[in-house]
Amino acid sequence: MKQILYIFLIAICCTIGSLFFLYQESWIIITSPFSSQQEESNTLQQNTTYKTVTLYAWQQTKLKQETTQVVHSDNTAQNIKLLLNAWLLFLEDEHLAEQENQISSVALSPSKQEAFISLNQYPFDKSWSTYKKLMWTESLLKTIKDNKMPIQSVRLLVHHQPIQDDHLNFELSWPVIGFTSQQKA
Amino acid sequence: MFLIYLCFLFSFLTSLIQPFTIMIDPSGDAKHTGRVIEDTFERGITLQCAELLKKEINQAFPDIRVVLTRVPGETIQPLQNASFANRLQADLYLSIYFYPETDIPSHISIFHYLTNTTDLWHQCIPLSFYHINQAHLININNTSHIGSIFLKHLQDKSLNPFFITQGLFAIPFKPLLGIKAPALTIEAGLYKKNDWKYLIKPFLASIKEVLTL
Repeated sequence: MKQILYIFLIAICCTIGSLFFLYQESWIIITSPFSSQQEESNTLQQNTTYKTVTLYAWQQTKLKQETTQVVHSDNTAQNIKLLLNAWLLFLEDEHLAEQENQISSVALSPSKQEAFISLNQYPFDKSWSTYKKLMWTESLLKTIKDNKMPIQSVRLLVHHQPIQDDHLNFELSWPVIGFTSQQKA
Repeated sequence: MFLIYLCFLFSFLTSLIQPFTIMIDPSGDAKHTGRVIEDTFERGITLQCAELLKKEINQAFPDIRVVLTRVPGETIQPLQNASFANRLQADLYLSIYFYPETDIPSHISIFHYLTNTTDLWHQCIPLSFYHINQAHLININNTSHIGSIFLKHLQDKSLNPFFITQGLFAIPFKPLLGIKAPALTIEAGLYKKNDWKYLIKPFLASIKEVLTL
């Protein structure tokens, strides 16, 4: 009888341990059924207004800019998505992008300091120089920073995976202040 | 203890005897053709440039050892060049990239590796372990200084009248990841596929000044 009890206790401990391990490794996600309802009600309560934003684009050594209006709410991820989609349209209008890019989704890290920005396709042309790709990225970062989005760094993704580029390392988080602000000759 | 001491002494003496080593990395390999420039690929032009540069350096400075990272037909694995440069204890790593320029004048940029702008404040700590992502920190100040020497000579119109220099940039430039030696990438736009020949002169002038450091 005691043996059966020990086996039963070991089995329970193993099951609890496995579940805890799976939860810790984020292989299973446990959410409260009440939290989603709360989020939905919060979304409805968000204040949606129009905000004037400035979009930037480096072309060689010249910085082009344009002001436009985008929808602004309390949701930072949504604000970044709308801002960057407006910025991508600006690039197309200025003939600084050779393909139609779009931001598929934006997610924030748990600390809300880092944004994961996912594009619908690889944004650069194969013939582009590293300098041109760098200036594209710097323009994106400047647009985020100067429009006072409350984040510190971004990770650029394509289809939710880091951009695989031969030259620039997008597996790292890029600070919104950029790399070139004080480096240009 | 005596054996460890002997090993340290041996490595110290070999580092003193070893000549100044420059490793030149022509971009691309058998698998990666690079960008299309006129009717040819970037990998072929960078290899031609690296071979001529090696020849010119050997003629001008016979005491220097120049090593190319690849030969035609070779495929380079990720981090292979970094491992090669670190084991060889290279004193300077020079990576050459070209892209098609649609108009004249052509442009040229210099890059070195950096993951964060605060990296430039790093002070090297001797006898400490560095992760591969931080290998560039060991010589960060030296790299920045050598980069400014190359920038100065490329901006000199008497040496380099055909290219406009865009600057020296410290960025997360993937091919330079993990290299301990001062490592620079020079990327030039080519309007015609043989325009790279104009760059040999400023490169030699820069290397001459680097050797005086």
